[in-house]
Amino acid sequence: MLELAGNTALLTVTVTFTTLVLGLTSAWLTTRTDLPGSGLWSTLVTLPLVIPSYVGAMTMLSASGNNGALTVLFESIGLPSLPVFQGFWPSWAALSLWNFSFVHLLIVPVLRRLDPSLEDVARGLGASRWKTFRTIVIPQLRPAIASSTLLVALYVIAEFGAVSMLRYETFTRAIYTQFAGRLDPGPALYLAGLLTTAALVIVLVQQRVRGRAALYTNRSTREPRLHHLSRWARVGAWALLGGLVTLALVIPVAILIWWMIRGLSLGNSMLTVLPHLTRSVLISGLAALVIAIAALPIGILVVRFPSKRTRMLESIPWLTYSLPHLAVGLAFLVLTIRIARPIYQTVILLVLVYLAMFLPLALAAVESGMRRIGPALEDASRSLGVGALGTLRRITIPLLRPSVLAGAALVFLSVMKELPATLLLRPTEFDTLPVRIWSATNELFYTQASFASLALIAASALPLYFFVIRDLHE
Amino acid sequence: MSDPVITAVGVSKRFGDVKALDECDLTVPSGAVMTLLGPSGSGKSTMLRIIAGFDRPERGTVDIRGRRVVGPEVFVPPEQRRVGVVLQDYALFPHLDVAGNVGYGLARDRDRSRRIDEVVELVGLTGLRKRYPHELSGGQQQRVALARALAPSPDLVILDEPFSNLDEALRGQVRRDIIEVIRNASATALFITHDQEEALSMSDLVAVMNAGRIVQTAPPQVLYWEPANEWIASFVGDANFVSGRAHGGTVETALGTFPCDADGDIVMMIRPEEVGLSLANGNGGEAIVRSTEFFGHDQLVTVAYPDGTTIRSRLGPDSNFSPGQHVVVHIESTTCFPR
Repeated sequence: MLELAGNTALLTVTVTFTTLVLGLTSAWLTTRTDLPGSGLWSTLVTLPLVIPSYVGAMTMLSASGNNGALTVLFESIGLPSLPVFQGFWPSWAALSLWNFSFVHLLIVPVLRRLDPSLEDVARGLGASRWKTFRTIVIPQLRPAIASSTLLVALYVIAEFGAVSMLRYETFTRAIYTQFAGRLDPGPALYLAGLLTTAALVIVLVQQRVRGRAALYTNRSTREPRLHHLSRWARVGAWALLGGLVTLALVIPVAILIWWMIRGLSLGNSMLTVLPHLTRSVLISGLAALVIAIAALPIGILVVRFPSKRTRMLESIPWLTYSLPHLAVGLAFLVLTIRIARPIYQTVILLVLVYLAMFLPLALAAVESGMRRIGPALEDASRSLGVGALGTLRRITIPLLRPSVLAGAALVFLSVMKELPATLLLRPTEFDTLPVRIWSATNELFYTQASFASLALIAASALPLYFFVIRDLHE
Repeated sequence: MSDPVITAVGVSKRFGDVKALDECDLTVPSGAVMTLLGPSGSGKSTMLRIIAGFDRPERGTVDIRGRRVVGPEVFVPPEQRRVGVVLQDYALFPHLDVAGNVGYGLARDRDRSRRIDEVVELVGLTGLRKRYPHELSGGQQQRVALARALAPSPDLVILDEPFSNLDEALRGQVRRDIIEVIRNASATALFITHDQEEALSMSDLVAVMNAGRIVQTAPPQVLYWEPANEWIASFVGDANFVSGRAHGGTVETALGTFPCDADGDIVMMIRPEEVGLSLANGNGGEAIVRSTEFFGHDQLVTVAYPDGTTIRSRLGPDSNFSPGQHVVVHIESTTCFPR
């Protein structure tokens, strides 16, 4: 017990710290310095997001050990073979490499929006460059730093796929091993309860920080001043960003392709993942549709009619979103077996679980769209003789369409990647791409795992590019 | 004249602890171009929102052409009020072109297209029917907003600070054009502004608002020359104020003795253009020129009395006074307000 808690805490703290340092550095280098190609770098650094941590972990496993891709490469040039990557350090590396982009994504808009005139004023008052950074820039970033810290921490304590594959004993792995192959879900539920409590503490801290952060948002239309990098600093920046992109994107993709080619040359067909791909796309599309439709009325209500009740309506989904997916999945499982047996192991149950977990993604998109529209357009429409429903149909919904699509795309992406809840609740034989990657990796079928991983990456890269990354750089 | 278009009585509205409207009464006569004038925070926009139906007051009634739209147990939604609004940022529908915006409030029948043409022509935007709002200049956007509000022939058009987003240079011309459009459409219009010059120059009637109440409703000239109190006198136009003690129809001030109806401590207002300066004679005593500001079409000369009282005189561009010069002040007319 204590060991589990200690392991989980150690991983959470180290990964959070590492991602923070990496994300802050990459965000600052790409937005506030004259680094050549900073726009391209900023995109490259966000690309590792297309690789779920468990796919990353799978590439690490399949690269090391006796028949690993890197071992084969090393041996061919006379180097010793690599031991199997497992335990703390590989888990730390996997979670850091495939999550620091989140911090980058959260910090970049804040850095962009900082009012450069504040820095000018500080310099004008005689503060040095470093003092200005310390006393003006960092305090303005503090809310964003705090909320990304908590976000990553929340993610790490709930992470299931990567740590399980890399055999590092944390709560989530213990919950799954307790659960698998037992009839009594008691011990697993007990551990899940502990994990959920830890997550709730983080959520509560995070919400306080999030509330305060609103005070700091500062609009600026001016371009931020760019810091000049010396030649050596530039080389260092390139080495750092290039190294990160190599480790988090180039090497894993190369390993996947290596396995794919090997598989193909052994006569395996990539068509074997077609059913999994179809299932993943169908279930993700269905979930995205249902969740977007559910988010629309809630988002409109919350923004247009702010009250205690609507604020509750908004915060409950955020709560379930923040809870560990493994625990949510377990809870749904026990609940449906007890009170809703007919939907146990059906697609309906899967969609319901996704709704509970991912509604906030669509909701946030609808809400920000609603805030952008503002009430004046609706007022104008009403005063022109068009009633509330007509206004909704002719003004609000058409203007919300891009936001709803963006929200649906985010949900689609998240469901595509979702592993733990799907693993627990899927109908028999309903293996999605993540489930396929999981089981193939556990059975050491790395060619099959690489087919499924490449299919998953390809299917999620397009919506990610169109709706998330492109938005960031506009 | 027929019924007033708007009759609002005793309208009160709070936002938290702030009284936005406090027993506010407002009457807008039919066919008038009227202005609701007040400093920011005086409750003008709240009044607009209540008349248009975007907000409900806690107390009071509003009638539109004799029909109760706000009152105890009565609330007519905005779409049934026939009140057009031109909001400050125009609120054009970004996904509809000019014709789509202008025709938005019209029923989908055979007359729709003809009416759109008619109103688009009225505001002088023929040829821009297919443009989208972001392809129009600020002035053009405003005309579209006005055309959209006028298209369903509302009983009243309310325009909220319609000129504040426009360049100073454009404003005068746009203002004249808009007023002409409104008069040609025989519409009743209620402008909302904090700019007293704008209010005086374009309205038939001005209602001055302060701290959630209408403090005076009058034609521009009456408002300027016979303000109801000291606050209005200082808010509308430029004024000198001199205090004094009135008794038996006259008042003693630093400037001399003047007629005054009130009794006791009073404040006397003198418009700067009612103050003449000469070297020879006058009823306002002797003073010394302190400073002059030359504007081209006129100039402001500040003079100081021996006791330190200063007043300003608006003179034509030809007069020639310089600081330090001794002058005699002549005062044409004064207005007294009790303290």
